[in-house]
Amino acid sequence: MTLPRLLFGFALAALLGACSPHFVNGKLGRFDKDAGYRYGKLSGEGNSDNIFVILAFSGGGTRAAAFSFGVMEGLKDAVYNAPDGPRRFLDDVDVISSVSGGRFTAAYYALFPEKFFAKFPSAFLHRNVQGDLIRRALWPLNGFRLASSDFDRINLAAEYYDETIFEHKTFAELIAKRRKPYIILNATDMTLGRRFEFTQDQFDLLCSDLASVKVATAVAASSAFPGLLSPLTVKNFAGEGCKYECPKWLTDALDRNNPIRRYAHARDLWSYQDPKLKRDYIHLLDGGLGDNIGLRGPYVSLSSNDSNWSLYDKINQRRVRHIVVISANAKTKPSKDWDHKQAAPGILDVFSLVTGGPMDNYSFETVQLVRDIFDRLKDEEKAWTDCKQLLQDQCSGKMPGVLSPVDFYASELTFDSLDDEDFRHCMENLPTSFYLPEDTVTLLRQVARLLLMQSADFGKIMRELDRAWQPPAVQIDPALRAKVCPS
Amino acid sequence: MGRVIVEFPECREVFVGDKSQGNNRDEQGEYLILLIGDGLQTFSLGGSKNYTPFSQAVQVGAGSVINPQRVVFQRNA
Repeated sequence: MTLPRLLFGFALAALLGACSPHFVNGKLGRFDKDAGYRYGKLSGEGNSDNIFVILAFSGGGTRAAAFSFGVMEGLKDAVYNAPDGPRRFLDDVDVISSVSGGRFTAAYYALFPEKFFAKFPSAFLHRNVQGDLIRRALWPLNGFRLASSDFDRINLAAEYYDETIFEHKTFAELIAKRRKPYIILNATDMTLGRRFEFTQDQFDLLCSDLASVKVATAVAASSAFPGLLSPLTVKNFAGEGCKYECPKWLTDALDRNNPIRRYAHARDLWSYQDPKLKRDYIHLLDGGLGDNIGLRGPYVSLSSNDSNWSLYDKINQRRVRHIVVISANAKTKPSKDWDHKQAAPGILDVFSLVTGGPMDNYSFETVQLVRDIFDRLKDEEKAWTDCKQLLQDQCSGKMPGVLSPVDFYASELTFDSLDDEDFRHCMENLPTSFYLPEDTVTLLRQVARLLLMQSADFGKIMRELDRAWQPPAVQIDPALRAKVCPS
Repeated sequence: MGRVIVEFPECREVFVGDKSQGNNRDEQGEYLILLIGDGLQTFSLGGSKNYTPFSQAVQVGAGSVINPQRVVFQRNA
């Protein structure tokens, strides 16, 4: 084929692409609150709600993916003696909420639990994703495709993830598996600046069927870091109708006489359905912009009835006895030399600060919110128990009601917890990238396992389940450390 | 968060919005203290509709574990 004919072919392909809009999501024929990818439709072998385990995986490129993978390895090795025999704590995980880099780990585990530990390192962690993406973007045919109005850099990334990592799987695969954990892949709605999750509960509001959406697309949406990748656009079909029935909690929350946080959250959700707002297209960016540790969604479920997997509901139903939140936060604290110089920081430094700074502060606050709610519930239970005892002892009286006892455990795994200052400094200065040397990935996995086994709250829940439990010994390979963190 | 007791002469399933919150009483007939999010919440009961009001919208937030807010349903005569 001659060059002019080849170019004509490319141009024609681009033109046809521009003429026939392609959406990453399809329309939902008719709303069905019992169909689709929802927590209530999943089960796990021996995984009841009695021990309710939530994992939150942060953003941070391959660093975050390796760190969260290391946590999963640690949970696999944390075996306790359950009434029916030895059991891995990993098999008690109910929900994994994740953003950006952490989403690769969460999504791969949900799709391929059997080969997860054997294959994920080669499928993603040891792959030069960054280099591959750049090569794809520079390939001439893709230049034509990128000229089309409905194909952008983010679509190219989604296509790459789909072909090389996620084996063309859609959410239909996760629905068919009906297996816990429930995976929440979070992105950020550009208009609202708030979390947008790839679950059917969210897609109901768009009258869209999540089942046909590729998992790789959802993962790509959360890694659409501003400036590097373009936003991902999903079509909102609400204008075409699907006989959507608004859940009663949402109708109640839309009343102005609610606490402002609840009302604002409800208004944001309703904006997808509101015909006056005409939100026909929803543009999604990196999930880390709305919540860089993936805890914001679980926080709603931990602190209200306003979720289809509300922990308040489960506590009231007396189905849950222990609630465990483990946050794998691969945040860094890169050293800055600005303060040593009179010259003002350059544009890239400023860009890095405005995109990352507020994100880190917000993440810190979210962790604190979860701790606060746990502390408050523990304090309430103690107050109730003390009052009950006092009434019995002093007045032969009774409390006006019965409280269901629940234990709460929160572990935040970060490099902050590393004792050795030099090692901590090294870990906190690892780059955020979609490529890290194999040694760095291996070291991150070891660090994550070490931090999990050293976590006081993780130790507490394990000993609550099995008094004799001892954390397995985790060693940081000195040679590996010396290689990644030369002194 | 609010603490709520749902009063009704019998043990009944409680609904907040359209979601079950389990029963209003335990096996000994004691009222269970429910954990409900602050703000406007619509309460109703499961089982036979032999009670009034059929559902009630309540501003939750005033109750504590020591002194729970009370949501009262009456059995129809």
